[in-house]
Amino acid sequence: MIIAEQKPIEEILEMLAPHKKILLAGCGACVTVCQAGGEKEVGVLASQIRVARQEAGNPIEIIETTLTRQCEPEFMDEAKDLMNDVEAVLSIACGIGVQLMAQTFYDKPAYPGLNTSFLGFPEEHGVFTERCAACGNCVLHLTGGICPIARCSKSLLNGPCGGSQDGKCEISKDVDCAWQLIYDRLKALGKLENLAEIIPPKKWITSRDGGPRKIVREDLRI
Amino acid sequence: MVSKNPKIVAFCCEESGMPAYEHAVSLGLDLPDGLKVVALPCGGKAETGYLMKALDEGADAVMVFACYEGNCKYVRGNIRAEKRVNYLRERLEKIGLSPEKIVFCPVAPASGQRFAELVQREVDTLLGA
Amino acid sequence: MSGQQAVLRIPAGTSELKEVSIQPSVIVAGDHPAGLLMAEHLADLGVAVTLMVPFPTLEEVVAPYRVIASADESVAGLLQEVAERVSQHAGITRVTQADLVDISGWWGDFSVQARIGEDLKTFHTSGIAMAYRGNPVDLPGIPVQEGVLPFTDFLSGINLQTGALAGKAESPKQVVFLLDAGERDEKWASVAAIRVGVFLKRKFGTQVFILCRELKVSVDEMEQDYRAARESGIIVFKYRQTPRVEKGSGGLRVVFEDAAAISSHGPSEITLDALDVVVAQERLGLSEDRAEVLRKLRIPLEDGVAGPNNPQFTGRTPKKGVVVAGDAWFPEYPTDAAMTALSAAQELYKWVGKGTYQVDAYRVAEVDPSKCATCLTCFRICPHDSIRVERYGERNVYITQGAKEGATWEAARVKIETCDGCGLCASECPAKAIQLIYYPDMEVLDFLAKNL
Ligand code: SF4
Ligand code: SF4
Ligand code: SF4
Ligand code: SF4
Repeated sequence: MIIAEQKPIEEILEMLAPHKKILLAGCGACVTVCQAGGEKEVGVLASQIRVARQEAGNPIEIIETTLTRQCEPEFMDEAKDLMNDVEAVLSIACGIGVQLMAQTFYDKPAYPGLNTSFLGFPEEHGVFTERCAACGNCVLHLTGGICPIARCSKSLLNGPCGGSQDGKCEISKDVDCAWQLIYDRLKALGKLENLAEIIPPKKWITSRDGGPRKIVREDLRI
Repeated sequence: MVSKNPKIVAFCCEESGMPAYEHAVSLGLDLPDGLKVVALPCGGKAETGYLMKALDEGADAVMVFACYEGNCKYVRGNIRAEKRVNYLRERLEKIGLSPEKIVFCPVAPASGQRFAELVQREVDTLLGA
Repeated sequence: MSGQQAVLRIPAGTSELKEVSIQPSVIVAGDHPAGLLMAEHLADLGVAVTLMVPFPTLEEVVAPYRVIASADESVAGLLQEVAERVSQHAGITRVTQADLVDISGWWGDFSVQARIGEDLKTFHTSGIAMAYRGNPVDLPGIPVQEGVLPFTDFLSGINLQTGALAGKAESPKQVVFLLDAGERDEKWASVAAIRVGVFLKRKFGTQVFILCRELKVSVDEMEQDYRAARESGIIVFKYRQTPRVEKGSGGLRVVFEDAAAISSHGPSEITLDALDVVVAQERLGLSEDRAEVLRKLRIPLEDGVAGPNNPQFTGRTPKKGVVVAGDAWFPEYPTDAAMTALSAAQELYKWVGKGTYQVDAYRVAEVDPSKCATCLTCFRICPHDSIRVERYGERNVYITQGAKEGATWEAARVKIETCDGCGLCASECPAKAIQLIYYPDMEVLDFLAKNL
């Protein structure tokens, strides 16, 4: 899922400085699960903003809501009436949600309350790690199910590099070397010979290098 | 500006904070009129949302009275409460407020004296600030 | 003024009592004598007991503990008698060579998977008692080397008739017991070292040294033990820092700083030389697979045992209907472990012995499935393992608009029979999908709005 974290509160307060009445909109999907932008966070953040503005002698009115998902145009309806009454929206969905808000409610500013961080999962409750960089051309079948794009600091396709030491990446003792993990898994699978094969240069055109990406499924189009 | 009689919300765990409050009352100890007491089944029910909401509604400070570490009837409720308090204290500092507006206070059930002292200390901190 | 404050109390509210019937049945599993004691106690009270031990006979369950208690003939004898009685008890179904590998379910309705020989078999039971031995996890502070024997290896290797260690013909001339080099206060080893030491000294003339940080004489009988040790000529030293164990002339050498020495000329070092064997106390903890079974039930472990986290209740765990004894609770001397086992059995009897129980379906948490994001937070946080995310279709069914009839939504659900109504799940749910039925958020929020 998409992992996000809240922006520093100072930054949020600065964005909202010109406004007196806003909608604070959470999202019921990924960011609820990663505890950054669900209904609970909406309540806590709204209180924090109100308290800060009260203290600054410049009170703000905040309407709180949480959409089913902010990444589907139809769900934007859930915020439609509320948007009539406010000057702007602070969305604590991922960047997709903020943009859909901006696009749907074109005449009112939409501010991001979160930093959309990466695609990953909770390794343990409260600890999230990256797993996929959405490169558009998956190589997991070659690398023992461990992504060298997202998990190797240099995104090497034929690793490890010389910096791999004691299973850790040279950038930090706290980061596993992805190629060590790949080696270990291939060994466990009895497929070490995979490593003898050179993975050819990747077509990065499916990744961001080819510009904004788009998928058209004619079979699905209505 | 904090008034002479600050409004303090005390979230009290039913197992420790609440008995400590009752004990303080039974001893006839001085407790400020501005004190509002909210009983909770466990310190772990002191949600981040409740604590912030109390400040949002105009409380000058929030205190969470829960059991000492290792004594929680529900294993880790007190530890969760303390972590939430610490998280909010950090946030308060970032928005330019005193972190002393939210405090975590472990107490034993029969410690009315300590309960009253902690509340008084909080009043002093607020008035001194 | 005192007592004038606005107070919001937890509503007493109406109870929604629900009758549940619980079969009086338990599974007792493990390789520690505490298990035999619990099985016997519960069976005597009329509970249907299934006892699972990983060995072919019950004798093997008690054997090493008879060595630990070798100096107390009465205790060693009792252990043997218990094994014999339990082998014949009509109220106990014995399953040998069985190891419990997984537990799921709740109080009154557990499903237990056990490996019996090569096969996996599933059992159903109302309550579970686990009595495991500790495995040595490490020798704190003492590097493992030739001649240093972990305490449990020493105990299982010694021949009670000849005093000889495994692979040796005769009893050692000198033995050093090196105690509590670690942080955890394990009294059992002090007791066992003294008693076994006295036994070795009296029976085989072995010279015994006991080195410790502090000899724990908290129990009454230990005063007597201590006297017996002194009278039979056992030498006890207290050290300041973990002693060094090195190879010396004609055996091992142990060097340490004597904590009792008062000297104006700096620290006084003592060297014990030409030692046959140094017995080091290891830290005992559950083996990884057993620890995993406990962790899955949300029974918190500290240093690999369950006791330190549950100090108020001997043997009782936060998982209703599950008790733990033996080293799995805390490593103890056999007589202390027996006390723990009996209180654990009492506790379990409370939960399975009565037949019918009333549970309050009002003082619990409830999930609104239409809001649940299936994030698993509640499942991870619940101290009582009373909430799960599952696919279900009877109550609280959320049908998506336009979906076919009977379509269900995956959501968390509270097991009301075991929920303690603590509200941890409700406070952490990021979707605000959980409320305590008896004390919903509105009560608190209204109080704050009205009184601030
Ligand atoms: S190879 Fe690409 S698509 Fe596959 S996991 Fe890695 S980044 Fe994601
Ligand atoms: S050390 Fe490993 S993870 Fe780090 S850059 Fe090199 S190959 Fe990649
Ligand atoms: S914590 Fe809330 S959203 Fe998450 S699974 Fe439980 S009920 Fe559902
Ligand atoms: S109220 Fe407490 S015991 Fe009940 S399900 Fe929630 S966390 Fe578990």
